Amino acid sequence: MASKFSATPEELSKIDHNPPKKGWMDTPVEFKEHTFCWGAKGKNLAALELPNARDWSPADEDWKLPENWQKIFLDGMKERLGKYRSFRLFMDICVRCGACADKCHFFIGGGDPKNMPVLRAELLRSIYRRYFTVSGRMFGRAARARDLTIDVLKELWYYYYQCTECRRCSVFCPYGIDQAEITIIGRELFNLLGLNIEWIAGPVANCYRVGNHVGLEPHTITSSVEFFCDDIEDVTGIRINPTFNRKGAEILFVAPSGDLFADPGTYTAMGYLMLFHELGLDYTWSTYASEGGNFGFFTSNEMGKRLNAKIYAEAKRLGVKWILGGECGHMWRVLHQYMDTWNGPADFMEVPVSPITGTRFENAKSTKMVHIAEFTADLIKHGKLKLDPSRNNHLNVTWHDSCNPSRAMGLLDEPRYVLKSVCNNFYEMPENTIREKTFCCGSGTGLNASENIELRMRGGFPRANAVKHVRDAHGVNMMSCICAIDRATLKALMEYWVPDVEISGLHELVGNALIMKGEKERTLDLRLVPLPGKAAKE
Amino acid sequence: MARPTNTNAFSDSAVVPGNGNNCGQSACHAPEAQKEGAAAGTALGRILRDKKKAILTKWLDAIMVSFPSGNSTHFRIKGDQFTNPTGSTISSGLEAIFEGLLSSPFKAKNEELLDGIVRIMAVQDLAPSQSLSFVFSLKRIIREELGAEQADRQLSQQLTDLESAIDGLTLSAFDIFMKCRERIYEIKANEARRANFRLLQMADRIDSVNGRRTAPKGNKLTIKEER
Repeated sequence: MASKFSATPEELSKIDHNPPKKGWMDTPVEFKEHTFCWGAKGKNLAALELPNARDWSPADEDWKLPENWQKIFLDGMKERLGKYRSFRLFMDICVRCGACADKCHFFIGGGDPKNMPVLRAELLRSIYRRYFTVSGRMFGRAARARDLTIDVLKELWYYYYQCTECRRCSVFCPYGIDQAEITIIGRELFNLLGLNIEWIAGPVANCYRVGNHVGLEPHTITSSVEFFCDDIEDVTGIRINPTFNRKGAEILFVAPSGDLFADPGTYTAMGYLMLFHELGLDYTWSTYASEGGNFGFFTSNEMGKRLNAKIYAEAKRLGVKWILGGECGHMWRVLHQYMDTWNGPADFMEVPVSPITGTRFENAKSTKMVHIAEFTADLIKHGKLKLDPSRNNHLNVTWHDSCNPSRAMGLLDEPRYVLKSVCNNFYEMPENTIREKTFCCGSGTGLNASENIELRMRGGFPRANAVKHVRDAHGVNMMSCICAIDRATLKALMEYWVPDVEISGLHELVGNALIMKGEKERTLDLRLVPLPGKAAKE
Repeated sequence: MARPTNTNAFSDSAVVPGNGNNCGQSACHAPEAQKEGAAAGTALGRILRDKKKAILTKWLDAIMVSFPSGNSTHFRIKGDQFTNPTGSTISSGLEAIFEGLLSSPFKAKNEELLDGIVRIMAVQDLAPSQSLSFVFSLKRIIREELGAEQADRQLSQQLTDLESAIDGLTLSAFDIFMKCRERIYEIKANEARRANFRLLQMADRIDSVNGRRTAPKGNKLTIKEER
């Protein structure tokens, strides 16, 4: 472990501008404080029936691995090379052109060459070549192959938990190699050896036990929502009484549990509640399908499938026609690209049709699940909402394209359309930092822990730097987004890099602007902060 | 508008005496010389401006060597503010700070530029000595570049004043570094607080913020235990 106070001025003055004499294969990994996450607790691995359940620490010399760990790892790799053509392809076809090299936020922010996507993949490719190609078996190093030693395993682990699977690099790869998929497989292999991180394993165990990452039990979920309703009543004078687990509702609403749990996500949940009430939507919350997010997806394909199963199961149990989903990032990658094949076909439901506008969501014909940004954009397009964007006039807003909704499902214009309808002051960040090229928050895929805070700050710097630019140029003081992890982690990121910029969800701003039937004059926003120029008349 | 002036052996330009308000919110103890554009308009300033390119190249090298081997390669590559924000912030910041030392007045803008660099260095998992050594190294680099010229008596005095200004810069850098590190721990505490705030609030265990009430309406809540 590197000491924080080791260097002397004399040592620092010895400047060597030559490249390192050793190649990357011979440069052993150094586990740096504030960069890696704690190892998973044995009780959580055991609860999930994951192998090699025991308490362990990545900082320890001994990782308490099974004796035949190499065989387990290589057998796992062989199985996945056979099962996933994409994995074999990505192991074979990279020509190391370097197009991806400077696109990773961790590399841009910290400079560690092993965080270049090409080299991060090469860490695993070298194993692939050594054990699964003829040239690698015969020529070893000359064929860029290397043995799977314990040091190599640790190096792989260290860097595969420094990838947020944001897929920015894949946008620039001429072959379309998806580093996220390589990281996903890498993490699956670690899980065969009991090498998950606690920040993933804990939420997954919670989710498996009670249905959501945060571990909210049914009575806590209902009281959270009721608490939001109290606040909404304070703001609007209107009492909302949402239903839970109601059979026969037309729509099941599934949100990330983070929105029920921590600010500023909670204000977004208030926005959902206000919108649905105003529409008179026939919908229900569920205390069972109480999590759209899926940290199982960061563990293994099977774990992702297992945690996702509750959404269709609950839809079937309640007999809803279709599902509406809240603002979450990786939740939507899972719902959009995996849920249908994992746990479908959802043939017991109908193609989603908005009961307000009659719009048929053909894009959700198969999954039967609609993103709330699409739903709200459709409402606004058809003039179904009365909005007063001036209530957000004190906010100069920019938009952060969360990685998964933007790159995994192309949800780029709908949220912008909504945002521009509910705010008068909207400013885009620079072109190469938004839309498909958006920068990650630096804390996704379960890396939003506390112990790796410096990694998070480094990885989030490219995003924060673009925010700083619009703050300086346009006085931006609010960044809005549609991802629960973003709402939690961008808050921390802004506190470090651009302290005067706040974070909100899209539907918090919708809730502010929404003119509700029978509401009192608004003097507070959803944070219960007085609206400028609209002070309460005592 | 005319400003009160005083004379300084080091600077031939007008300065604001002792206003001490150019360090942002930090309590700045930097020597006064720092605040004026330390080599503004002097013979030393003119010489250093001629050698600016060489000095900045060496200064950039000095900061890059603070990073672990190989990590700085990307930061040296010319990129724009958004494709290479770390490298761009550092190299443009160093140049602007150097310009600030040569110009007058040496104002709060330099605090901001220094803040941009130090804020990056404070989260690179480096020792404080590694993070901030680049400021000290400017003195050595300038003397190296001056070579025999520094023996000139007039330059020697001016050089002493400039080095005093760089010392002031160093102190400011320490202020900023400490604030950054404190901020990191505040952020960790804030995250933990946010994670528990709503539940504690629901359980009526904490007072409100932002004018929130201290007790929930009605008797709907069923949990009273701290979770």
